[in-house]
Amino acid sequence: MKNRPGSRRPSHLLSDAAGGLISFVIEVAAVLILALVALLIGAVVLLLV
Amino acid sequence: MLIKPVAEDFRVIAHSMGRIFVVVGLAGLVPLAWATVGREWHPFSSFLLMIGIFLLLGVIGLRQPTSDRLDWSHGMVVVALTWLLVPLIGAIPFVLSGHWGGEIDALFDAVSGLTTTGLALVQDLDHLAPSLNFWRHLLHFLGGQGIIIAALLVFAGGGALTLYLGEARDERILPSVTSTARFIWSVSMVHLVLGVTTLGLVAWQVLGFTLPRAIFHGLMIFFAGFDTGGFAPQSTSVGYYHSAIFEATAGVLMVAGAMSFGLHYALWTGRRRAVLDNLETRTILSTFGLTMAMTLIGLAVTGLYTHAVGLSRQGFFQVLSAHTGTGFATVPASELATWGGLAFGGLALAMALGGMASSTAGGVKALRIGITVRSIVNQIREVLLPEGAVVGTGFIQAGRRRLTPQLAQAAMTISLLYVALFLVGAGVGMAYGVPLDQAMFESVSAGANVGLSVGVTDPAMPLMLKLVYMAEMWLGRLEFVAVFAFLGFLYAWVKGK
Repeated sequence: MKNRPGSRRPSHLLSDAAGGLISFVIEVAAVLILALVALLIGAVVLLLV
Repeated sequence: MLIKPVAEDFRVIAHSMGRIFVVVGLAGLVPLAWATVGREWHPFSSFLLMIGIFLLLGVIGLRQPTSDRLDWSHGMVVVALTWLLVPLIGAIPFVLSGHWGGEIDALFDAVSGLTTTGLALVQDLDHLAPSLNFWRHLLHFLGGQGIIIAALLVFAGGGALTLYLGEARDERILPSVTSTARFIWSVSMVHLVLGVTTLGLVAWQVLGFTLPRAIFHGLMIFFAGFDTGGFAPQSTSVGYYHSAIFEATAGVLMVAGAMSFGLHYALWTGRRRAVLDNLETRTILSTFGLTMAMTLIGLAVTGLYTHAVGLSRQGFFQVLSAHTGTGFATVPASELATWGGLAFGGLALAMALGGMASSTAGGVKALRIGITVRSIVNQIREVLLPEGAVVGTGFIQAGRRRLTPQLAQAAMTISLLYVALFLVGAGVGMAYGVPLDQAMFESVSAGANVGLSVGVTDPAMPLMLKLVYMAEMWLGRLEFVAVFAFLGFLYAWVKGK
């Protein structure tokens, strides 16, 4: 049977935690990219206004 | 002809309400324990009273003999009543603390907490007992994760799907509602551990807090950030920490909270391509870029920030907070009120659009915006293309789906209801002398369950405005359907035969 997140089997807890950790790292990366985009827009806007 | 509800209908509703009251009563044991450890005996006694009432009502409800078969209308009534009665009882510790101006102010904060809004009428927050502060934030967690979902896990019983849908969650990630509910709690627990650890470490090592204080602040900001609530343990919100790293960490939790649990599932199972192809992801990235550009241009024009880093940091955090429906702020309400013009418009638009469907965020939601825009574009293409040309109607949202007229109509109807809700709230604000832009900002903040404020929400504001904002929070959180069904049930009770 395929592992499904949220399953209560002990062997699945590890894969749940790994999936969650990878997900968290991707969310961190997404926020950093968005912040960099904001910085870029801010710099351009200040140059133009 | 309307059919009058019979005694069995009330017994079924009371039984389900009983389950929910027991779960909330048990959740109340956590702040009770907190008060015991901290020797906060005044809050301790008020928590004891609140838990007693929850458990008493819970046991009375559970003792109702019932076939336990919830139909659609029962489920909707249970959900609508839950979001009314839980704050009513949950406000007891607030009333007894003396930190709120009266019963209505305490109820306002309890409604704001449970609906994950974050507008607050608490006074002298910086000296509030930690256990009471904990209860404020725990209300965010209960409301954001869904009391119903918690109750489903404790009492997996009949009518689970109806209750789940009534709580404005229309996406079943796994085949059964119970396994979906379990997955939602798994996501929360992983973020709880990672979020509190990161926030706590930053507070402890970078900001110099003592370890217990760092953990306390980490936990509170996690509850309010991940559940897109917006309460904060200090009166100056996230601005209290004066730390870009702390703001970024809170930002990660806000983004995670505003993501649909379907997208979390795709990330967890390694289907990252599905995340990028998703209609909601594309919509929210577009609207986030648009509202951020609006806000930054507006801020630059006002001349409040003359350096790119300061401008981007303040603009980015406030837009992220608004778009995810969180309501954290790094600038005081009085300063936010001076932003004006395009920056104000950008923030208000971000609040109104909100996060993703089936997330803890409020607002119209990216899915509805995406469907509405796609539908309008398709209609324009049908007009422009030669007769007989086929216009593609597919989109990706938890698999490939077809954009049917019914789907577009449903999305537009709810979107219009949100616009009407915002306008009514703004109209009442204006009737009490609040300027148009501020009245609209505050109304959108309440109706979209955000919590950013320009200072209109204040203990001294008129009673009617408090009641209207509470109604907005309730309607906005339940996305109208459960509330309309509840009102229909009441009407049938009075007028039915």
